[in-house]
Amino acid sequence: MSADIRSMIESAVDGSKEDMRNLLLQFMNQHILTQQVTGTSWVTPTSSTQKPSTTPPPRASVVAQGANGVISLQITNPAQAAKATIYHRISYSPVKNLSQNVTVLPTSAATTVNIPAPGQTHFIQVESSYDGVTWNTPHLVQQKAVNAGLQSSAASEPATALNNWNFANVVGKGSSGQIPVIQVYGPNGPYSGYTAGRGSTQVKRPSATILNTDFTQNQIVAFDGSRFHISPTLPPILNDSWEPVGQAIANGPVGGGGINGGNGARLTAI
Amino acid sequence: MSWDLKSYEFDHTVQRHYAVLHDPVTGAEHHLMIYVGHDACPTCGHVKPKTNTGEIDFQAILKEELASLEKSHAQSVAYAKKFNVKRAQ
Repeated sequence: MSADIRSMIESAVDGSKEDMRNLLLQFMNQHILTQQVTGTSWVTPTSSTQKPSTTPPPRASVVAQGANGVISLQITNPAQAAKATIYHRISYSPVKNLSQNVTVLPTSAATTVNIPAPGQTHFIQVESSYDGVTWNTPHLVQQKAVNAGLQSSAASEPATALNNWNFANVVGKGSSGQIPVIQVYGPNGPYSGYTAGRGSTQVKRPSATILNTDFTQNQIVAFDGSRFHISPTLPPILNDSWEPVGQAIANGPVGGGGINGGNGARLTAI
Repeated sequence: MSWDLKSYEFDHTVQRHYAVLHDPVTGAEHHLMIYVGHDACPTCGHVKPKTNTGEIDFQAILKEELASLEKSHAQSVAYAKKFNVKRAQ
């Protein structure tokens, strides 16, 4: 024990609150350091025996998902080691055997990890340890690479996610013996284009005639910047770069934007 | 005629004939799509081929669409000419 600590203890025994405070803080710091290295805790003792540091923990199960430019990892520590601190070392690479362009994240006991990687596809590898020295065998989170997906700048703007709007009318007509038709047009009527926007960006869009659709179902119309697409359900048209235009309701009223359509192109109204 | 067929293609992935009509003077476009694939029953999901593809005459539809666009265009030009309004850039 150093002379400084000894004198601090003596001083604390004599009633110095400041020395008592410093003494306790030093003990606390020492404890945190020891805990990080050994995975033990004497402030919160465990009822189970702490694994010796020479034996690595069993594999943790990890679920990886990619969305909006981020790969999210949810780590579940093994049940056998539920009361011990387990450190994880996560590596990722576009190559399955992690031989090239490997990124190793800092060692952490966190069980939720987010890897920002817009447009990238990576294989994720995880290894775990009680003491940060002895690690279990690295394993891939899944055999297939995880695609982080593209980050939509519009979606990342505060309060503007899904803020697609337009002044399109999407009108469908279908009756037996006739070819079903969906007309997409602007406020000036059929064969005139419409104005659309995402956030504060406005663009002119063409009009369209869509013939022979399956008009026993509602059809949602989207525009990808050069071509129109239709789908009876919303998910297939929710690509980042596509703009929902409106919905033609089978044997129903006008869909789409504009006054008649009640701005039906807004996703909330579809 | 100011409106014309700009391009057309057949998209086999979604089984549709896609044509882009345009007015090269104004830059306006009108898209024409004709689906010739299958229909699905909205209740049970049963898929069956469309039965009316033999009745579809692309050239006739194209002619009709161009005529409608031309008529709309002619009305706009006549209106603009009447009041001597310049075309917006």
